Amino acid sequence: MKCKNAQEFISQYYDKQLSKNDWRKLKSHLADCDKCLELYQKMASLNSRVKALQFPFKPTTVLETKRTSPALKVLVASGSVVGIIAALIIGFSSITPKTQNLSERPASIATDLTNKSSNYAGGNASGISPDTSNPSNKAEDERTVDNKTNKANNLQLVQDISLTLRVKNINATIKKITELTENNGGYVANLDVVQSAEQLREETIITLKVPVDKLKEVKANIREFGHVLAEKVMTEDVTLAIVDLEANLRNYRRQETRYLELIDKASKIADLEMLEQKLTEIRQNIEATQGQLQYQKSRVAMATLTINLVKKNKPKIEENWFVMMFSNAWQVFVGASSALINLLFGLLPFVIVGLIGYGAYRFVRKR
Amino acid sequence: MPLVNKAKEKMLVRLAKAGNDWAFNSLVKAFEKDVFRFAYSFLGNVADSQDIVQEVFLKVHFALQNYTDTGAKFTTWLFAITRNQCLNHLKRNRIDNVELSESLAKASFEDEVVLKNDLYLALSSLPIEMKEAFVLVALQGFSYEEAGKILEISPGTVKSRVHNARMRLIEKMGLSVNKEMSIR
Repeated sequence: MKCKNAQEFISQYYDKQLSKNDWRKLKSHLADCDKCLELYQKMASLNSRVKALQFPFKPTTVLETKRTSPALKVLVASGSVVGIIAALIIGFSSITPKTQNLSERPASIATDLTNKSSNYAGGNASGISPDTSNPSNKAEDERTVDNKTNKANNLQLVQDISLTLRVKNINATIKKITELTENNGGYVANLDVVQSAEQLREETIITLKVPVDKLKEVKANIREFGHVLAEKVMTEDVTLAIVDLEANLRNYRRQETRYLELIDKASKIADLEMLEQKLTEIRQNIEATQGQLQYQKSRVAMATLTINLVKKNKPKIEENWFVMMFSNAWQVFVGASSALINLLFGLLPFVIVGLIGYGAYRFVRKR
Repeated sequence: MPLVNKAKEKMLVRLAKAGNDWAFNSLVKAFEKDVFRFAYSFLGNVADSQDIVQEVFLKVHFALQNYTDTGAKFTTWLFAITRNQCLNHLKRNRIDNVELSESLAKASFEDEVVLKNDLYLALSSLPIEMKEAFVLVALQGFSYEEAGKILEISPGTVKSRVHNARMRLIEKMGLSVNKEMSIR
């Protein structure tokens, strides 16, 4: 292989357009040729930069691409109101001494932590629970969970419903479903098209996320869009998981404050380093736990509705038995003829050999 | 490259064609970044590129009726429109090739961040034919055939243009290539 070809191959390799065979050739060439290997490495570094190239992208504004419905905004707003109230209550009941403690800390750490704790309070409370419609109720929930008493009434359920519908027009139904969901503050999370062989069946799977309080309404409406073939309701109880996560979170926060106190007392640099390290670990834990908590709460707040839309295309059947009989007979005839012709051609070599043999025999006999 | 798989893309296009706004919005969401990137590599300016994105999707919105999936792939069609729109824009503003010194004058803050990237600097100094081929193949992940369809040139030409673009970029970015090696 010449170096010039190799260079082009390298380029094609990074375009993902090089065949396996050519790649093998290129590899063997690169093993021998240092200069091409150098180029290969340069191309590699170029490629990694191309992959990392970021363009200053801003989503367009004039086109209506945002789908945050007013209902969702209200939800978020009420969530933050709930957050403030909950934070106040929690602050008065349990955290007050801690926060006071914090304010006496060296400025940098204190601001850092108060930021975090306010983040936490807001984030935690705005992770929505099923009945966000009533802020005061929500705040009470927060407190009860916090005191680890009476959590029986406060089951956190994740609802997952799947429906299979037979419909006449899939596209129209999808349109209706998306409108319905968006009007109820939900959104379409996924859309999958499944095509079966021979196009006898068209299938589309559409996944919706719907606010829990609107779930019944939406489901009832969707059921009317077609003939219900199957329905499956699954609920997962995540109360325990959420309570556990919240308990973990509280423990981590306690550890955090304890380490902060220790840092104040520490005099050796080695001790300080060690404590700082521990502190970052704990803060990582706090963030991870918060993330999980948010995730679980959002799962509780929005139910998943998976709708399987099926359309059966009727196979074309020749209804006229008379025509069918003749067409069958014709097919059999064609099949038999082709078999016969095959047989004849298959025998042809033997016939030729036989004729030659016979001719030779006659020739010998005549003499 | 694409955010949606082929079957989904087809479905979305079909729905959008039938007038489903949600489907059209999903298409916009899926491809606006790619369209923007391509336009930006042409124009080197955020504001203009955003205008192009808007114009392109506006055009798509109206022209979708004429689009049939039996012909070109949707993405191929989309990028052909984007390219035409960019060329029109350049013609309107009578800039043959965006030189950095000129575009720096009207560069916004976001532009400057990108312009600090030496790869982007090198890329913007390439002739436009090389640049568009390089962006389509190396950045957007099109095959030579698809890129050829968009640019209305043969796949072989795309291949050589991308290769030349790579060689030039390496040279421009200070990773100089030894000239002797091409003779051996």
